[in-house]
Amino acid sequence: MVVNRFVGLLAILTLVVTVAAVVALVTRRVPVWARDVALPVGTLIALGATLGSLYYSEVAGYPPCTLCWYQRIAIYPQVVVLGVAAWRRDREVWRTSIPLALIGIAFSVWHIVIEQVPSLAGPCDPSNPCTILWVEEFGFLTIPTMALVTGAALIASTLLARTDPDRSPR
Amino acid sequence: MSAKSSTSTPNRLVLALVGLALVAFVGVVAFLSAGEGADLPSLDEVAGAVTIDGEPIPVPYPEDTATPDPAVGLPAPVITALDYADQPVTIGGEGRAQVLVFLAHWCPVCAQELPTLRSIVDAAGVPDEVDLVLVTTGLDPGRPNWPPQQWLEDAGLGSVTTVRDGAGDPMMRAFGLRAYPAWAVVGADGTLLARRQGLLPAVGVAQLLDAAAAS
Repeated sequence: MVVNRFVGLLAILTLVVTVAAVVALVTRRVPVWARDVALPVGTLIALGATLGSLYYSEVAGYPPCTLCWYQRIAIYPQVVVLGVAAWRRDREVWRTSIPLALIGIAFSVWHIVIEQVPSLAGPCDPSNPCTILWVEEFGFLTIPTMALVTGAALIASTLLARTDPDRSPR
Repeated sequence: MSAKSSTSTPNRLVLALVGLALVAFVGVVAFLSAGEGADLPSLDEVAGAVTIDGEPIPVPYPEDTATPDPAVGLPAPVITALDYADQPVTIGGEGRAQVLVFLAHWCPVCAQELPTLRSIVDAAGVPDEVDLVLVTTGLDPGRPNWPPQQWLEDAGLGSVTTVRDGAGDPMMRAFGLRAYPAWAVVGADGTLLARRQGLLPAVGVAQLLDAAAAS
């Protein structure tokens, strides 16, 4: 499906941005411009994940399973949390955003595990088992994988935003 | 690194980016979605007409698998269903022993079972006196791997007798089974010899085939 490929490409782009952010954080070489755009970009990533998830459930007709809902709970509020923080330039938002993201990541990891080894979740429940592979782009991007990438990106963006500008290269 | 907070100037970049992203995302998705939708068979075209004679198995498969299945030894329902060539196939009743495998096309655990089934079929592991019958159930055109016959052919099981459950899984329910994959063994005398739910290893499948052959 073309839309799945488009959403998959957005996820790949998010992954690349996240890896770049992690490298910058680990090497402690965060450019000032990166710090300044971190929260707006984090807001965009949370918004993209929310819209993508709503597309899957409301347009494509993929019903969210229980684990999907837990991941949604961790991601949807980030649009508002990060959006307000970006608007107010609140660099302390990581204290709210990272715990939420970590909760979502924990559910994503378990969801990915049972997607890979479905029998770990027992036989398929006729209603809506979490093991169904609704999307699989580029051989590895499933819905919980994309949620995991989103969580990692949100953590990276809020950590980028809190870096000390005095130690950043200009 | 120390964190500093600044809440002085509202960041107009945020509003602009969020607005642009919203418009761009909706536009691109609407553009890409236009004209999508393959020409696939409907549920009515795939679901088979199922006739059930006799009483369904009255006992659901036990949740606790350590508990002996109380339905073993009861007469299995006699069911007439259609295969994918629209030929009637009779399940249950006196005659040849049968091992039924209920598979849902969208169920990843069922997909995990397919290589085991194929290896048994390819190795001629089904005893001569036993019929292995696949039942496509849990039919849902909105879920992955639709239509199911193509899914089974791709898995190398196109040569195995495959019958079509009806919408709402009447065949599977008649055996008191509720989750996929599921198994039912009907002896040559028409009694239920065993039921299982969930993934079975090759040894487990062989045990069911042996139990059927021994009847």
